[in-house]
Formats: sequence, C-alpha cells, structure tokens
Amino acid sequence: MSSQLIFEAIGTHWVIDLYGEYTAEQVDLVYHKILERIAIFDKTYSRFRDDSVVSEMARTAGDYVLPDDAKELFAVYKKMYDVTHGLVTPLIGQVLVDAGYDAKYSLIQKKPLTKPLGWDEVFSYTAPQIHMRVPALLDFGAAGKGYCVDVVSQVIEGYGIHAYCVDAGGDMRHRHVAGPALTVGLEHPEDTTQVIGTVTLSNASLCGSAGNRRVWQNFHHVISPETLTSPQDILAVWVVADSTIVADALTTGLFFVSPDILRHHFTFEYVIIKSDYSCEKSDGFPGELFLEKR
Amino acid sequence: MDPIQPIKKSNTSLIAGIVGVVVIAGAVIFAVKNNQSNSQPVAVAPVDTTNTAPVTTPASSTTPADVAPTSKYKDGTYSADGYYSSPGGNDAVHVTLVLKNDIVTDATVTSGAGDGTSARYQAMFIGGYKAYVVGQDISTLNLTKVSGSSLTPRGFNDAVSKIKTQATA
Repeated sequence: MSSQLIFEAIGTHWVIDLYGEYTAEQVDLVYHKILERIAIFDKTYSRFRDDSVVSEMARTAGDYVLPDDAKELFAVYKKMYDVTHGLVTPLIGQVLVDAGYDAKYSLIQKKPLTKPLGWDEVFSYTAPQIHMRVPALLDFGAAGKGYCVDVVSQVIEGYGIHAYCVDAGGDMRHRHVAGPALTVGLEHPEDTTQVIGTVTLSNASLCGSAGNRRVWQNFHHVISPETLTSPQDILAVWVVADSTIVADALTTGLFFVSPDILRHHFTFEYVIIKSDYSCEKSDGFPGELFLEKR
Repeated sequence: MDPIQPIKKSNTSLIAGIVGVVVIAGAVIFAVKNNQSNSQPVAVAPVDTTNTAPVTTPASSTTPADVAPTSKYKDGTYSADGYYSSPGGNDAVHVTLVLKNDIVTDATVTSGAGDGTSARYQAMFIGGYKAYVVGQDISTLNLTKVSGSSLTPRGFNDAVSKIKTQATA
C-alpha cells in the first residue's frame, strides 16, 4: 500500500510516494503542509519571482533575516564555492539573467557578460542574518531544488513517515529501510524515449543534470563564472549521495571540477556522459550503463 | 615482416610506454592489414617524448587526510606524438591519455592520418579501450522512474519553442 502525491511547484513536476497505509485525511494533511513549506522556500530563494527575499536583496543592500533552512543551504554553497575555487557560486545569478535565463525565460542575451564578484565582496552570512554589502542577485539553482527535496522530506518525516520517495523532476530522495530499492532510468540526453543506464536507488538521493537541456544560443543552465560560457564537453551528469542538496550541488560541480577533487570533500557516486557519449563512472556507482565499444 | 623497433626508453618512460602501446597496437593493425595486401614493412619511429605537464583541473586547496595513493603512475593527463609509416605514407598521431590509479580512463588521438584508411584504423584503435553509452527504449525496461528529462521546466520549453517560432518567422 502506498499513497502518491502529484503536483507542480517551483517550475517542476513532483511525485511523492508515501510507502505504508495512511488514511486520506492523513495524506491530505501532509500534502497541504508540503505545499505550504514549498511556498515559503520559493518565496525566500526564488530569483524567478519579484516578491522573493532574493529579489529584494538584488535591489537593496543591507541586512536580511533568513529562515533556519538557510544554514544548510549556505554551508553547502560555501563548501562548493571553496572546493571549486568559486566556479560554483550563488553569485552567478546576474550572469544567468544577462545571458537570458531570467524570470521571463527571454533566452536572449541582453548584454555582454561580466564576471561576478567574489563571495566575501558581496555578502556575509551569520545565521540567521545575511548582510549584503552591495545589492546582488543570488542564484541557488545549483542546489536549491535538491535542497527543496530535502526540506519536503523533513516535513514528511515530521509526521513520522520514514518510508517515502520525493521526486522533483528527476531529482529524488528515497528512504525505505526495509523496502525494495527503486530502479531509476538515466534518460538519454538527446532522446527522451530512451535511457542509457539505470540506478538502483535505496536510502539515498539521486540528482541529474544535462547540459543539452535548457539550451539557448550558446548557453545551457550551467555557465562558468570564469569563462562566462557553458561547458560543452559534458552532456549529462548523475550523482548519488546521502542528501539531495549535496547530490544536486555536485552535478553542477562536476561540470567544472574533476570528480577526484570533489571526492576529497564529499562522499558520492557519479556518472558523467561526455559529448561523444564516452562515459566515466565511479566504481561504487549503484547502477549500470548500457555500453558498446566503437 | 620486419620486427617492430623497440620504443626508445627515456626518463619519461611512462609516456613512452603508453604511447608505445598505442603505436605498437596501431602498427599491429597495419601489420595485419599488410599481410592481406602488399607486404610493405611497417616501421615505428621512436616516440617523441615531449612531456606536457600533467593537466589537472583546479587543484583543491585543502586535502584532508586522504588515503595515500598507491598507484604506480602519477594521475594526470599526458600527451605525446607518435609517428609511423603506413602504405598510405607517413602518418602521425597525437595521443592524449588520462591516467587515474594506473588506469587509462580517457584517451584522445588527434588523427594526423594522411589517408582515410589510417584514419579508420586509428578510430578503431581509440575505440578499443573507450566505451560509449547507448540508449535502450524505456518501454523495454522495467523502471520505477526516470531521471533526466523532467529536469526541463515546462516554461523553459515553451520559451524555446516560442523563440524558434520567432526565429523562423
């Protein structure tokens, strides 16, 4: 027996499975709490809405009090920022907008791109407060969705439900200690009717990022703050880790930095598909790739 | 058939060794080919041991207590040029190998092949230790979920189609 919640939020399609027997009232209660929680998250961190805290910080310098969940978000971002020497940075926001990845999805480059400032130049965060030295548009696209999955999972666990899968558009977290693992297909980067491998997901999180999705002009959703171009040598990346925020952040990190370097600092398994369809995966990756020798 | 000349040893024996393997393997392919057609000798020139320093992605500043690597060769990216003669004339290959834990994890060969046959054999050789992913129909597999496509937000796709329409208007 299980219940399923399906809805659209933060620009993606959610499918939440609750494994176990719950009454319609219980499921409804959890569902509404989840929607409420996502709404708060979105209102704080979305750069796609004008009334968010992040949008306000882009307009006015000064001090802002952020919710408790900012602690983990900033901790993961800061670690990624340091490990990647600033290549994964929330300060990429204005670059993405200028390149056309804005609230209106105009997808037309507006002006020449300029390198973002450094973390310390722009803000300092000491929970619960962030001090913006200058107005700047922060973008949490690299780990925000994954984190939202974790945050929703906390809501679910808050109701004593510990067997579930939260799937936000292919980024997912599975918890089911005694239950069966999920077999998740890894979608072919250029053909949605095909998969190029599978992951056996059990009590872990899986996130994917494909460079040739969300493509416009010469850009895709990952832009290097150094070169101000989108990496072209990687087609797709999948990461399995304990938490969804880390898995999500690492999918972006792997576009810039070798897995070896990242593995000094994070525990994870990965698959990287290069632009010629050659591939690289970690020894412990819990899945298989469909391979051929050419 | 003339014997294949030994590869010159040098202080960069690793690169020479690896490229040697490449060139020898390449030569073997040509040798097989030559057996079938004219039996022109295959000569392998000493490998150019120009060492390009290992290329790595931005180095990590902090390296916490990590297990000391026990690999024989230093991880990194190595490049070298190899030359050989084929029935189609003199050819060169520029080989770049990525070594990790003593395993070649990636390789590219810039084909300097003068003729189509050489280019084809080089391509065959490169493929010999590089695996490529291929797709299988989702419908043929028993999957719980799929990760990848649904990453694309709907609005984004709409915008893309809009722009495509504008661009073709």
